[in-house]
Amino acid sequence: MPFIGWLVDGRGVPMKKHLPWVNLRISFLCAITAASAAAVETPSYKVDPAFVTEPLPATPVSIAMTPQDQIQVLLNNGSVITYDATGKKTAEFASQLSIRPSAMTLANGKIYLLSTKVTTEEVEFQGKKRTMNVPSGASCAVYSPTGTKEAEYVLPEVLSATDAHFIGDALAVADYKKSQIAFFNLKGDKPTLTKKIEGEFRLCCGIFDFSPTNDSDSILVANLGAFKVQTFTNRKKRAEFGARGTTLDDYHGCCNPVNVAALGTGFIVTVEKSPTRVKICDRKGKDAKIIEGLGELVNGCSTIPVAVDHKGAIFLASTTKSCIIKCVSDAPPAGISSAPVGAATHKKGPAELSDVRTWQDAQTGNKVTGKWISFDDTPGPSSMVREGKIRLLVGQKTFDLPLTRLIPSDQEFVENLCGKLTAMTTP
Amino acid sequence: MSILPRATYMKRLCSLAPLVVAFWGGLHPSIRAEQTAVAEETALTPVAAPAAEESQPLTLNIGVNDIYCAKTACECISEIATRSYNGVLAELQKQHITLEFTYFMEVMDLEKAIQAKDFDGVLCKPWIGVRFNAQAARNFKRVADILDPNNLATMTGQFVTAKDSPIKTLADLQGKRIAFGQEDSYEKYHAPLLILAGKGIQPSASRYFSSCGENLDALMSGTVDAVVISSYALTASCAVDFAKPENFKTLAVTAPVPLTSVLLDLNKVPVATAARVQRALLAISGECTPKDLAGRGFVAPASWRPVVAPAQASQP
Repeated sequence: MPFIGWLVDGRGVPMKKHLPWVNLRISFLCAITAASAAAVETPSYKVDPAFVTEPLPATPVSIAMTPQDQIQVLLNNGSVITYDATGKKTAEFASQLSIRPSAMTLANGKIYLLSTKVTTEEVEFQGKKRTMNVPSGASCAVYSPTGTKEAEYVLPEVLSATDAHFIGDALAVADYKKSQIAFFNLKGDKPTLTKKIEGEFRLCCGIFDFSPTNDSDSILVANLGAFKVQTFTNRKKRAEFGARGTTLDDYHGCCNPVNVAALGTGFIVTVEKSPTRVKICDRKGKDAKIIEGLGELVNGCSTIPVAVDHKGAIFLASTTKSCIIKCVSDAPPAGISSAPVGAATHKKGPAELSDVRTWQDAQTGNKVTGKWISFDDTPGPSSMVREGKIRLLVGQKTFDLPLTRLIPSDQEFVENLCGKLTAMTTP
Repeated sequence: MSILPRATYMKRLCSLAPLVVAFWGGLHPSIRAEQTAVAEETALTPVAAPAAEESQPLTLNIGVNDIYCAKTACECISEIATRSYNGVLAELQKQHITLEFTYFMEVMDLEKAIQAKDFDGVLCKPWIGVRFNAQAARNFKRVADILDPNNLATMTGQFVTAKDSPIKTLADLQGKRIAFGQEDSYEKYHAPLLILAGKGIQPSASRYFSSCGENLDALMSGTVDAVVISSYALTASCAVDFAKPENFKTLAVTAPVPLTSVLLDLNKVPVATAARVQRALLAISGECTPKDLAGRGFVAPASWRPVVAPAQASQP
């Protein structure tokens, strides 16, 4: 499997923008891996003492991984520092933006720095008037890896940029002030807002973090005011877990988790503050395991930037320790990065090809909600569509549906994925 | 009433047993509420305490979790949670009283410390301490209540629904979906459940969340029809950032309960010593209150006898 592991974005997630077929192939394998993750014990992680960075000269704002698994850190003074796999600083540049950047993401060999404009407003609080800085707009500047500014855009309909990632081709921006995630098409002269997720988020403390997942259309959101981690696919909420409570699967404090990241193996990293707790859990938020020995990574209510590389290592940016911390799994690397398909598939069985979605019969109009699964554990188009049928998992039962019975958009969904996989597997 | 053969009688009795157990076990809270024993007074009665030696040095370790304290509140309410105890501690030193404060951002950590008997006393919502009196063989008594920034010593639980909801009164909650707090919250669990039980109001489904934020999320997401929140939730909790008071209406409130108290464990602290601390706290209140306390200081604890509602099984 040498072809994967070299095209990942800031969270170790495949980047569709480079080579779509690679992303698809990875998605398929990830689906198999993720499907099997439920049957695999949550991996234990520990701090890697061999990874040591020099003290950060300013507060870390964002952290991302390059395709070569170098670590790039955005500081609140606007500088971007690059570290190698051992923690040694290899590059640094000052963005010198008039507005300090508040988020960073990487794609296409470029560095995207997002800034939040602030204006002063007089607000009334508890009957008292006082002057406050209020977010009033966001922009995105594009840099080369050496720090040359190549472009800058104003992001329409966004008031604050607290996190950003490329989801497929779209630049997705978490906007705390408007409690939304906005998706932009950056092709053309100006960014075009293509879609938004709004009305779902209970945010507080100015924190709003999300993460790409193995599915190029899905994101994980840390909905901290609701103590939930939520999965959205194509704007729709597909799954959620989490509650405030006393067990390890629960979250603590006044609002948590503050950050979230998806591992390539299908497991999820959640980060809590006050006190700091970083856990790995399965896709349903269960079987959580805490990373011991981290100590307090922030004071009070602050974000703890997190990123994962394609080997499954977790990187955390600490304000209190003024450094980057690397955590590695106790277990041998598994999943998409190093294990062959057979090894990644811990149990024989069908792969999940989609999240739960609604499928509609074109003739009767009847709808059924379920996952599209493969006919067997052989990765490839032949197991995705067989004799003109797809297989759905509805609850615990499987149903084989003729593709021609589905409404056009469902057929398109299937054919799109199959077509790409065919192209990918054709020499 | 005809006399049944003994075997038949026992058989019928046994067949009713699960129903009785279920009934008794919490399906009808009003029944259980009537069975609750007379609750114990939580306020220290200083008249019964002889005066302690005022000049003797006294050191007590206190666990602190205070809604309005800057060290234990979330930063999103930093505008209102400005309280510091530095001034109070300094004034107490002048009376040879040293209170060693340990601050807890996470109230569940404070509860663990209480169970471990780590502290002579606590400064927090009083139910956090007194509910362990029976459970963990503690004997917490309120020596003083603390006034909030609006100089109120009490709070309530509030039945709340969306402003545009057709639900207008408490009676309208019959057969509706309601989110409550958990057993560690008096105003969101025990008090409202007892109110509903007393009025014979039965929700169709009940959920029990640990935070006001989760309750409000459930209401805003439409998964419940009404929620019970603490009266400070929309002004002094993380919910201030995502739930605006004007979007909700209050259907009913519980009886007032003390908001924040200084409680001493009389299993560790003699009553006379507790009375001395009480006198000292009351002496640095009102006009004498240190400014950083954000309010007019301490008041003598009002009588409060919390009645415990029966345990509820969460329904989806």
